[in-house]
Amino acid sequence: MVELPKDDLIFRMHRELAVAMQKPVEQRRWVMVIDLTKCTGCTACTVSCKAENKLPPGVVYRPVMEQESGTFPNVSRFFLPRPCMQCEQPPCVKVCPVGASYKRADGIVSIDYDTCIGCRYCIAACPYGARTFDWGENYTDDTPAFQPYEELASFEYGVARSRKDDGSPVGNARKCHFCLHRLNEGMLPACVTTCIGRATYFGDANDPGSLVSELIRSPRVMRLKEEIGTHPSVYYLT
Amino acid sequence: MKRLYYLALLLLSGLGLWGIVLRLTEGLKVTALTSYVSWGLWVAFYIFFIGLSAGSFLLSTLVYVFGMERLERVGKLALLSALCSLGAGMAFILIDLGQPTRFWHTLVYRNFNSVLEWEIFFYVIYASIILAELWLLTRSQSPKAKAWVKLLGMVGIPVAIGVHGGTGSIFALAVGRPYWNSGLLPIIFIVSALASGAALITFLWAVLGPKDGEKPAMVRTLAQLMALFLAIDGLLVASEFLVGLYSGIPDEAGALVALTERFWFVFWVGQLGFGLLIPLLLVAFPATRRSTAWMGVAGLSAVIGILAVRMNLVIPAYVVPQFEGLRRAYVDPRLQYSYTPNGIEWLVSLGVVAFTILVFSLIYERLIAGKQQEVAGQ
Amino acid sequence: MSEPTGEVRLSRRDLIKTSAFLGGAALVAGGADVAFNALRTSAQPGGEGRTYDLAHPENVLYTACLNCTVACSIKTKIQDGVIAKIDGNPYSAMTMLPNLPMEVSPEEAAPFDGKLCPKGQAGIQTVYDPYRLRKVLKRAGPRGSGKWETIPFAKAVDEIVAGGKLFAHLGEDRHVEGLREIAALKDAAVASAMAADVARIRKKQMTVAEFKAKHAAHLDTLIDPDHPDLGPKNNQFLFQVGRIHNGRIEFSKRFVQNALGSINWIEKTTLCGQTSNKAWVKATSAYSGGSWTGGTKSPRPDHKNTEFLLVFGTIIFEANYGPVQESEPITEGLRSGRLKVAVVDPRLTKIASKAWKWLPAKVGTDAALALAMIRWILENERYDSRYLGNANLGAAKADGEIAFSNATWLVKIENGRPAMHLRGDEAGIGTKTEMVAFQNGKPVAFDPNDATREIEADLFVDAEVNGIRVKSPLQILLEEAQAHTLAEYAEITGIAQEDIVAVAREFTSHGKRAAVEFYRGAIKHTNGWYNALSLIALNMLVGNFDAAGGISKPGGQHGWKGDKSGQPFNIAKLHPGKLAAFGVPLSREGWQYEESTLFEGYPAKRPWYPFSGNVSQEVFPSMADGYPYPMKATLLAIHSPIYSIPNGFAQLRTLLDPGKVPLYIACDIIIGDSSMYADYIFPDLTYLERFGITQGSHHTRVKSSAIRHPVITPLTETVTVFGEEQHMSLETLMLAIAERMSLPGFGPDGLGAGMDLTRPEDWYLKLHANLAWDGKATPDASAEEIELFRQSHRHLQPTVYSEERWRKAVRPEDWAKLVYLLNRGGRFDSSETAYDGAFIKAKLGGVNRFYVEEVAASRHAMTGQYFHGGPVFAPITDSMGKEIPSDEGEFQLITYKEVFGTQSRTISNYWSQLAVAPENYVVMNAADVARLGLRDGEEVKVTSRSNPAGVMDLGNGRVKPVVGKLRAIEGVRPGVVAISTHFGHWAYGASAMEVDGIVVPGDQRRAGGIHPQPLFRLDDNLRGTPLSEPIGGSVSFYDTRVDIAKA
Ligand SMILES: Nc1nc2c(c(=O)[nH]1)N[C@H]1C(S)=C(S)[C@@H](COP(=O)(O)OP(=O)(O)OC[C@H]3O[C@@H](n4cnc5c(=O)[nH]c(N)nc54)[C@H](O)[C@@H]3O)O[C@H]1N2
Ligand SMILES: Nc1nc2c(c(=O)[nH]1)N[C@H]1C(S)=C(S)[C@@H](COP(=O)(O)OP(=O)(O)OC[C@H]3O[C@@H](n4cnc5c(=O)[nH]c(N)nc54)[C@H](O)[C@@H]3O)O[C@H]1N2
Ligand code: SF4
Ligand code: SF4
Ligand code: SF4
Ligand code: SF4
Ligand code: SF4
Ligand SMILES: [Mo]
Repeated sequence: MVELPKDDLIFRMHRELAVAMQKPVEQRRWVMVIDLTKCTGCTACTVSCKAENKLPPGVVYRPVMEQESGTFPNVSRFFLPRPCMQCEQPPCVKVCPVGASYKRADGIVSIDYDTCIGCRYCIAACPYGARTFDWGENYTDDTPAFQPYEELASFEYGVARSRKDDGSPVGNARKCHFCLHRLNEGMLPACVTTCIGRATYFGDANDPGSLVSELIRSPRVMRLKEEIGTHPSVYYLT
Repeated sequence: MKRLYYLALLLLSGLGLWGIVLRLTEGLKVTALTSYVSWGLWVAFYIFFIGLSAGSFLLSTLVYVFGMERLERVGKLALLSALCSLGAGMAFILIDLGQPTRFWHTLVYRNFNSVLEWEIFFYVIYASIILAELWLLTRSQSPKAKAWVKLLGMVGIPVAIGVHGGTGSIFALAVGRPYWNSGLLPIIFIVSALASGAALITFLWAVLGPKDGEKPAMVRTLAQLMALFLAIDGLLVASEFLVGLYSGIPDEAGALVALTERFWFVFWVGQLGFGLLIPLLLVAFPATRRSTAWMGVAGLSAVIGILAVRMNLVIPAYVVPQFEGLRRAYVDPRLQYSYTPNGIEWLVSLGVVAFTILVFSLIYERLIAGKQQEVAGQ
Repeated sequence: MSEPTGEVRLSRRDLIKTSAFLGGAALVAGGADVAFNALRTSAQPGGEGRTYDLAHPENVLYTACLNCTVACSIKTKIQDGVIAKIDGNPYSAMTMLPNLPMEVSPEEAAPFDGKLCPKGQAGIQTVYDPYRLRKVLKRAGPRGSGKWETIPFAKAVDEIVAGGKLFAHLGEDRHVEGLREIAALKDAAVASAMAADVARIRKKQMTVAEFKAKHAAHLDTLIDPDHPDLGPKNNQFLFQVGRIHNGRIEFSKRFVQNALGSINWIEKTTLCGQTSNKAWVKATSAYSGGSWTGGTKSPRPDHKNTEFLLVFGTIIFEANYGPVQESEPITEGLRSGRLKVAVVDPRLTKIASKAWKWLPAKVGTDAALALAMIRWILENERYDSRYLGNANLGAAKADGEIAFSNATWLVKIENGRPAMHLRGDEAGIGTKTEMVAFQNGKPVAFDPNDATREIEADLFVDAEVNGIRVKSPLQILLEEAQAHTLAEYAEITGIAQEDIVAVAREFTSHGKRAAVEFYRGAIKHTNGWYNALSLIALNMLVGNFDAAGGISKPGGQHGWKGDKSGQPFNIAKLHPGKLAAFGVPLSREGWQYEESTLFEGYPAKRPWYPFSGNVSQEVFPSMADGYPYPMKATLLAIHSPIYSIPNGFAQLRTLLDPGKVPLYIACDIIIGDSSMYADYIFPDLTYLERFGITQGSHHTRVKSSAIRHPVITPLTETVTVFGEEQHMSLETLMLAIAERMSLPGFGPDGLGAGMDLTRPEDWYLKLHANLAWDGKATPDASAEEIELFRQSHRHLQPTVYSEERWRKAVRPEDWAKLVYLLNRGGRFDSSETAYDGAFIKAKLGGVNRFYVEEVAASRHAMTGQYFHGGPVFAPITDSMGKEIPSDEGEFQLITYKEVFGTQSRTISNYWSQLAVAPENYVVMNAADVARLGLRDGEEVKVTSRSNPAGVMDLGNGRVKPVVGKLRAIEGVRPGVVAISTHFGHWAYGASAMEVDGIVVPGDQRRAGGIHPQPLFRLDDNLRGTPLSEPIGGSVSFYDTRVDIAKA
């Protein structure tokens, strides 16, 4: 194919993704790096994720939190997107009574919608509020016309599922899955591609040369709630 | 009189059933739960009943294992209430599942790291033990049977403790919730279970117990047991509370503040009033202590109080966001850090409770009350 | 608030029934079937085995966003015939940096998604809005009653064309003039002849009497024979429009001006960035033959290379044009340390939160802050004297510069005030087109465009030439800047003197890689024009025009009009029987008051806008005054004046009066906040269901020409026009009217022999084809690509797409090229090719102006005062020059945009606006809130001089209080009240409507929040007109004082 631009962000991530996908799954270690100095708090990632995964009311995978600090005129605002941390020690997985939540070899914490009994123990257990529940509601219920986009199949985990007739994932816990279904097609997560601040990076931490590997070596990295020993796979640059 | 009693129970059960049907057809969206406050009234009822069950069972073991002759006559009653409470608890957790039809997954797909998983495992054994004991006791009074019951009781003790202590751990192990995440919690669960068990039996015996010379003494003994457990429980909770407040863990302190402010009624009136003060005072005053009726009230009050305790355990933990910023980050009615049970949830609960009482009463009449008289007659 | 009466409880079935006119599942389901069958080829629908359909090119269609005006290039992904996902188009520099080369095949491009903002991501919910309109509605009660009946399209068109007692059944016994009657002048030859003579009258080369004599036979076609310059009766039809964008602009102008013959095609732009655009045009226009032409409306900093960016009143990460283009180069620069940012804004905007300095200047004092910096820069000689000294092209060339300025071109001082530039002949040393400057104290005359002669001139001049007092523009600027000391400026602006100096020093420490960017916040004031000139002057002082990292020309677009050599369809020419529209526009724009026969001394009855256009706030008040003439029929489209014009509610009173607005027709996608007051509403298509060419991007440095085309089968019902079945849309409506009235330029052979104009694609595909032939022609699509095109269009029904029909719309040799473009969503140059050396390829070039002589030479039609030609710090005044007292209210009201919302179209976006912020707030500084003894979250009522009661009067007795929740923050200047503009809707699905007797309940989620509009300050002299800026024509948005009280 035609030469792709040799930039060191978006196309680089694409190239590195392609390389990683060549390796056996257990040799990949997906991590996400979010540069808070570049995040403009636009919530494009939040909404892109909603659309990508056809998320109903009550379900959100990547809210962007905002905080103001200081007093006039020395004030600052700061923005913090919060996907699932894909913890290396995920409390959510530990508590799941039926093993519907499990950790994949590549580090992604997945939910098997067909096994999940909807007990919501994992929601209680997640220290990051990263899990929400599918209550079976739709945005255009009880409006003059229910809209078809709400029951289109979503492709989470590479399986086409429609919420039509309240089938799973209705009644299941749901969470960010690093867009596994896109990775499988050589595509970056939807929140990464749409990021207008180019603040979100994604890649294989097992590839020492990858952009994300470079970034997580930086002294500026931090992770959320390190103290509780969950070892998140999402890093923040401050 | 009795007919009216059963009619009322039937009616309530019917209403509850309607609620359950609605819940099963419409899904959990009929509840006021949110993705952030994902457990509510039904889970509170679930642990409440598991507590009652374990408590009642342990009480029964005083008779059958530790041979506490004075309580001989409440043994079966205790076992029966243990069984029915367990049933109720199961019912509540079942209707709370997002995928109720998949309850069997818990038996097929195992995750040995999950407390809940072990719980379910325990429930099965536990239930069989109670059934076995009841079966034996209702069939014969032979020493051989007694021996078996004693054996079963002994096995049952750790199981019961496992069952309810485990329920405690469900919460205790949630690292995400400092409010729950504490070593003391499982112990508190056991003690409060004993308290609730004693309370229930006190109440039941005060109402159902055959009116004879022994009754007041019996009720008083039960009540005093209850008071004892309540007191210990109170101490443990207090220490938890203080530790929490001074732990400096904002979430935990936050939850406790919410507990005493946002949920002040359930806490001050329910947990402390009904759950501690009223029963203790009633037991403390000689005047009331001598009255079987008052002791019944004390029992009932404690039972209600402990329901409040359960609600206070589940809900406040949720009203503190994992991150303050999450409150406003993305807003819709299911992404709120606040929750008040709605009509449907209460209706269903009422129904399940009524139905449990109904079943309990029927079995009690058929299998136990009759024989009770015989025993009294001898 | 009075809901429609006779409420019928709505059962599910009714809901289905009502969805017959509101966007319903029905049609889409149809689309789905088509898709289903087609999809079977790739994978079975709905079920397992489909890992990720959206990754496959046959499910991708590229088009253009329009959830806000920026119009980013987008990639839509179709699933079962429904739009499932929207992303940025990786081929476009607007949405991916760097962008994919066009050579990359769509197959290979499929895995790449570009960037998009939250609004763009949520566009799906704009299209699939449960309240979408699918049938024509006619009001079944008084205007705004909320009662409607559905009527057949054909009948509706007949009614508006024929007129008559259209509302007799509602007890309105008045004759409504139809379009046929209004369009009195039909003869093209007569029209041109009259137009030419009106031009003479305008130049005082012909008298009215002479005109009447000459055109005696046709005077009956004029509005007023004694004022021929008012033009034909046709002008009494108005097309009032919003963000219409290219392609549709030409189509509707063709209809309104050159077929119906009305001059009145008025866009909403004076609400928008107008004054900035006009000021930039003046500052960059070219000098030829003694007068000024052309100019660029939106030069912007080249963020990718800027080292210091000084932002005045524009929300770079959140609004502007737009977040998707601007964010990345800036965040990259901030991270790498290349870029330093300072932001002048009363609010701590998101970019301000990342800035080196946030300067929360007092509202309306931008010019003062700029002049303070200018004073320091001039007095400390921190300017680029080399650039400023170059008086003509020759000198610039010699220095290897691209641009030069008029800093040195002498200006005549007439009775104390600067007037026109001194010309060579006046100086007695040259011709009358030559300019004059001082070289070492001696005047020289020169041709600014002379590329060979080098004129390096003296910067500061105050002298006499040939007995004429003259000054150089830089001298004039210096004197203006010296009107105040830095200390005084600090007082005026509320910005500490050391900060002013620090920013000025930083700004002048990066050579040409520093730039000032500004937009609405700085200019939507009555003094906005001069603020704009001051901020442009700052850029010129560092000579940053056309420099990498400096101010640059937007990349723009490839030509679509076909007027370039080698392009197949010159659409302006393809118009048999084209009618010439002429006369004074309703808004009196582009005319000097003095030129018109209406001149009767000062003040004029209403303002005139010689330097502006599309003065939208003038529409209703002018109708109310019947000045310059009364109007008879209006067609509203893509615009919500009552919601978007400051205090549009004052104008609503006019709209509700059939005497002043006899016929009001709307074309909308929904029953909007304004279209709800119309007599008829015709359904239109949303931006994802129709054709178009978008507008050029402000913030790409290379050409990006996105193509808009239908990506799904439209949701509106189909009708038959010119024998063609097509979906109702603005185009269809115009086609149908043209058919009824047999207007020239539409229908069979409408574009010339053998070229029909009977369907939208007949028009648009030709424009798209033109793109392919601009300059180097684009390649042909390969056979595989053509097959892919068929696949990716498989879900479209024949009513919108048919290959043979589309092929017929262009020449055979165009088709493969067209497919090549459609498969990529347009024609996009590579961002890598933007620069040559230290400069940018796309150049403004030529002269940049500190001083605009033609403005200095004209008068304000109300005060009769002359305007200033250069930057000044002017007070906030009304149309009679009276200052607006700052004690009118305790707080200064400002408004702003949030990144998740547009003015009114995103209230249907449940994923974004309604979840990221279900309501907006009355935002104030925490200290003010505390001082008032109020609490965060508390409800407050906001009142103003023009709205002492603090109510939103929606007509028909429906009144809402202007009440909102307080949000106490630190990031806003004390004394300021900020209210965003995306909420407080009363229609657009926010309240119940009654259609054919069935009540369609409103969606409460859409009714949240507060709208600042009712509060804005009205002009005391102009009967319900908001304060306005007289030169660029902007409405004022930030000059209103308000009071806050507990609700
Ligand atoms: N999200 C979003 N983006 C959009 C649009 C949209 O609707 N939503 N619309 C598009 C359109 S049509 C346009 S015109 C552009 C407008 O783009 P912008 O001009 O960036 O948007 P505004 O909201 O007009 O900006 C007003 C800003 O000026 C500040 N301000 C108010 N008064 C003053 C003052 O006196 N001085 C200074 N320095 N600042 C002041 C306000 O606090 C606010 O931050 O946005 C485009 N992009
Ligand atoms: N207070 C305050 N007021 C403002 C602003 C502000 O910052 N603050 N911003 C101003 C600016 S910059 C601008 S540009 C104006 C914009 O104001 P408008 O020109 O009114 O633009 P919108 O409000 O976005 O859309 C107007 C209406 O067009 C209709 N519509 C949407 N899509 C379509 C379509 O595809 N076809 C048709 N036929 N109709 C459609 C909808 O009814 C929508 O309500 O608002 C101005 N008003
Ligand atoms: S963030 Fe929460 S949901 Fe995600 S892995 Fe960690 S614990 Fe599980
Ligand atoms: S909700 Fe599902 S995933 Fe979560 S713990 Fe229960 S079964 Fe496991
Ligand atoms: S990775 Fe995918 S699922 Fe996770 S937040 Fe981003 S878009 Fe959503
Ligand atoms: S899209 Fe990027 S910039 Fe916008 S909020 Fe998400 S992470 Fe931040
Ligand atoms: S800025 Fe957002 S809403 Fe506006 S055009 Fe671009 S993507 Fe669409
Ligand atoms: Mo605008």
